[in-house]
Amino acid sequence: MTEWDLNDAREKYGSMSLMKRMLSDLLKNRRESAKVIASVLAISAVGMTAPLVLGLAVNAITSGIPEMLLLFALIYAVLYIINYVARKIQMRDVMVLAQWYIKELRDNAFRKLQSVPISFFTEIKTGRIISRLTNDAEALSDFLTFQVSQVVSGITTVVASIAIMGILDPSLTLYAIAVIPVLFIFSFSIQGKVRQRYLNTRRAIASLTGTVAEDIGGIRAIKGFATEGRMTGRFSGLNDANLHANLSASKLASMFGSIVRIIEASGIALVIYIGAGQAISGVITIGLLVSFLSYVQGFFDPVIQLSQFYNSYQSATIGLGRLYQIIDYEEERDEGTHEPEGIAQGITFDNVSMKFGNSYALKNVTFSIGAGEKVAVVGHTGAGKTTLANLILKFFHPSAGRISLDGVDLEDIRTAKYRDITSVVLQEPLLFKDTILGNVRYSNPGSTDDHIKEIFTGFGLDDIFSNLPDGLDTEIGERGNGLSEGQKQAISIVRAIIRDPKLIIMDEATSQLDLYTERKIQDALARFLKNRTVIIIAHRLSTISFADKIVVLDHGKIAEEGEFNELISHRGLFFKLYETQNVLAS
Amino acid sequence: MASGVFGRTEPVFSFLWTYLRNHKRALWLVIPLSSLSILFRILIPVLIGDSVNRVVSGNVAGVVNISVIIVIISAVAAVVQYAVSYGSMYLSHTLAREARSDLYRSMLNKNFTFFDSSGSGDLLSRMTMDVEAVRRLVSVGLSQFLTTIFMIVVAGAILFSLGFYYFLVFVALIPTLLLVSAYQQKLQRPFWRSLRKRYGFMGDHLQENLTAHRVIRSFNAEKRENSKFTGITGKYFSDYESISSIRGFYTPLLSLIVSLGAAFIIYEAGIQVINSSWNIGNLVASINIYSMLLFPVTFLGRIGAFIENARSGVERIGGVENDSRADYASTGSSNEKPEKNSISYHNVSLVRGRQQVIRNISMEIREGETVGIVGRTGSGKSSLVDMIPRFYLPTEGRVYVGGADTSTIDLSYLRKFVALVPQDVVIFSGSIRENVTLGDPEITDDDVVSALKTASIYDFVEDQEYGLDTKVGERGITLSGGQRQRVAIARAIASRPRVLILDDATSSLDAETESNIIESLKDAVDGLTTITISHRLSTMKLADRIFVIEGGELIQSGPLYELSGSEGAFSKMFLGATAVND
Repeated sequence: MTEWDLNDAREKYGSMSLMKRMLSDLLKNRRESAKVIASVLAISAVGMTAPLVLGLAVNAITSGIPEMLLLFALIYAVLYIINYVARKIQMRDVMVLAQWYIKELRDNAFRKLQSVPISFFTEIKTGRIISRLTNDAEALSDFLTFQVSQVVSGITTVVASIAIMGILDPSLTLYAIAVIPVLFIFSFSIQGKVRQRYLNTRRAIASLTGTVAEDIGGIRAIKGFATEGRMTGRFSGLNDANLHANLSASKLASMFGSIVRIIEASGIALVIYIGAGQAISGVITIGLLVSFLSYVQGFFDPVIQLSQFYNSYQSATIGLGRLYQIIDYEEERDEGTHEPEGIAQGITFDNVSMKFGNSYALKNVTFSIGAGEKVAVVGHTGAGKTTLANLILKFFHPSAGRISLDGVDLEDIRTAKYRDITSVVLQEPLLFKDTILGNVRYSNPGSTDDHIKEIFTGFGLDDIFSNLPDGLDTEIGERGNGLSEGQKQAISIVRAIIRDPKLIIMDEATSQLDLYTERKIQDALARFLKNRTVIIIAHRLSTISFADKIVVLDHGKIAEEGEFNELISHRGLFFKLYETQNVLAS
Repeated sequence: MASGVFGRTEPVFSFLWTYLRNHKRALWLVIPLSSLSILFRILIPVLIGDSVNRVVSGNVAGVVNISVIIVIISAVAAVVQYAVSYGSMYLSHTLAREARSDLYRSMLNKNFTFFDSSGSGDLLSRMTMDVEAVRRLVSVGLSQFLTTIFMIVVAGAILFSLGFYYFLVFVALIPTLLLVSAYQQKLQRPFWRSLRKRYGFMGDHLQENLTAHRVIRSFNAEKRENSKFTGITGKYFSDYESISSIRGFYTPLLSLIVSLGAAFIIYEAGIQVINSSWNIGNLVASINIYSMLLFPVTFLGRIGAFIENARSGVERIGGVENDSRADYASTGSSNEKPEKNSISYHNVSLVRGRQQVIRNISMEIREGETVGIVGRTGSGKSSLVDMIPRFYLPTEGRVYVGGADTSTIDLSYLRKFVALVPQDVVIFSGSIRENVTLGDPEITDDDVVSALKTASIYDFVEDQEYGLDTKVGERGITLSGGQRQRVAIARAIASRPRVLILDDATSSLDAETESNIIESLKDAVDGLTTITISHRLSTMKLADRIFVIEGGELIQSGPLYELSGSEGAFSKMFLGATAVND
């Protein structure tokens, strides 16, 4: 779990390698990145030449040559027109490139989430994943759009300015750059602290987001127990912590900016002092001095930018690390080559165990389900019934032993193909924001409205939706909001049926239906399930009446197995379960 | 303040003002100081220009003095700059905290109809990205905006002092700059708005996709999910593309205008210097001032994007805060706190959306009674009990608790008095203890243990390595459906309610466990009124009386022996169940 600590994500990759990877990914968009590079270079070229032209213009004035002055003024204007064109391209394309890259990251991360092992979702909070794909990706936007190009052009400007100054007057250049080592030492000494404080801000906002996500999800419980006050208290604590983390980072960043300005001024003063002396004594022209002063001013701005860049760089690398961590996550293996079209013999559990952490959910389970057979799995809550279903669905892989279909290990069967012939009614219906018909069609996009409606009617599930104004065309909310649990379950059942599966797993599929409805669907269900291989997990023993065989689980082990009458006469656990229900019911 | 310049930006600025006005001291520090710091920054090119003049006149001592002055002024400016920079960060983060806090409170105060129709990913993005969009306007915008305005004013004044001619060119440029930036801001507006909305969709889709990952996998729907997501990110991208094109065209145009102005001055004023007595130092100084203006002018282009982004943020925050579906406040001034735990419905009807879910129901539940509610799926059972803790208000009629109309009872009192365990159980990530107490400091560990025992889950908890401290939820162990339901029941018991409603909250439990729990409730809580919705006959056996609901109407009621003896909905419903078990 610590693997998913946001700190680790970046440390694992290292900031530099993250930046390298980002750069190589950005360069994949050749056209845009070529335009960006060309425009940044053009902008820097103008930035470098303009002070020179200005100095030449001043010299033209001091030496009184109007024609030269006109020429330099025009060159100055043309330079800025070139600058405009370059900036226009740079501004647009940098933003487009940045957003393209962010989109790629999001899409790739999302694609990966569709293929990671199911266990991934038990490791990391949904809220945190969402925050990675939204907030963290967004944090890159500022960095890529504003900071990177500014820093790149800034560095180019600094280097080129120094080069030009060096050509114009090497000794004066040395004075001009005298403050640079001071700047470097200062920046490096403060770096570690800044980094730590920015990391704290990311942590603070991440835990705030996670908590709010959970509060929204649990709003019914919060309101139901009138705990708004305490929840607000918890939220305020995190909200304050976020404020303080940010303020402490801001303090340092502001200080950095101010001190750089003082260093800058000292540099300028030095150039004035030395340069003016030389100009007065005639060693250099006044125009050269003006150019120099202009260059010196010019190369401090990028340094100030650097303090902003650093904040943004911190958020960006943290976010980038967290996204690449998802993108690089190992996919669920689907190396199987067998592509079953149906079920000929059946499914066999051979000494199957399943361990979560230190405890066994299933231990040494061996049994078989024949083709076309209906097997009921019963047992107390927590006996391992749902784990068994998850293993058959290939959501998890057994810790030991093997499960096979027609003698072929499930691991050797191509998962996608296997799921084509299976279907499931999960314990939790999990519906989508769509119409009821749309939700059913989710499992089989080709099915027509009429066909779906037919199934609802055929199974006697149509009239429980009669209270809805638009019937089966009713638009339902997120997670089926607006429907009762029984209605959600009915939709989930039809959704499983419409796939026309060879193997169907029904995990407490009818627990939320009323008895009347449940009984009504029994006949239709029995007809539908005929010739299909079925695994029914149920508490209500009434729902297992059509099972050919019953497997009784107890603490992860098979306690009993056999036909209904056999088990009753055996007077074991099943009999006890049956008795209790019967006594309670009669 | 900037409304005249930037078009209709009032909602953004009035939103900012709501929060900033509580921090007038910081504001009154930042505003003048940022002006001061600009004054210093403008002073430096003037001094540089002056030094050039002194060089021309060969005044060595003067040059030395100016170098010293530049360093001193910069040092003072640095201190001021620190205050401005930290001050605006302080203001922006404080604003974000307060705005987020208000939004959170407002959200928590909405009623259930609001949450029925809101996407949770979308709500979350309003709490984070939309607040951030507003914050950025303050952090980047506030000092820079004022700085920009001030810089333009001061630059104008200095240019005026350098020479009327320099000033005139400047005066010609400024309105052009303002118009261009206002125009590009307006062009960007629809795209920012759509962008923020799509960002919300993205959150919604992620939330849905991640929650339902098992369904998606088992139906091989991964590819469809991918294309749905890339559809959203694709549109998000194209909004950005449009914004990029607008900004790319207009923002550099602003600096071009200034630079062309400077080129014009170099020539025109340069000729004057050559031909007459204009001094070259002033020309250099004014060119420097023009080039200093480049940055704030570029900022003028950027601020449009900040304002528009913040505007969309403010609109979306307001969308929640101004939503009228607030939790139902108590009517009248009574805020009653009834003692008795009897419940009665008087001619109650409830319409949800366009759907009438409850039709004219009247019924009485006595103090300490255990009642069962049965009915078909979708018959309105949940809606019926949801009105007791005032999750929904009856559209017609009244619901009474302890003789008091629920709409007049103090809301928080009512919801502590009545505990409802819903069908769809929520487990928070945290320890089992936290899930039972929900942070109530008055619930002791003994209370937690006894509640867990009553809910028949203490054995399981005891078996865990960390006992009550066992982490559950997304970062902890995964509880089965039945375990979740029992933790939720324990939570309800621990809150010491006088009325307990189990809304099909035992569906994932086996019949034996369910009956154990319901029976032990009577021993655990003295005189508790219990309402149980269940589809099990075994559960109904424990009820003193049973109410049968169909199509939102109460069609039958009475003790089990009466109902099962007579022909009617009840016996029709349970007939098959007994037949199977016999």
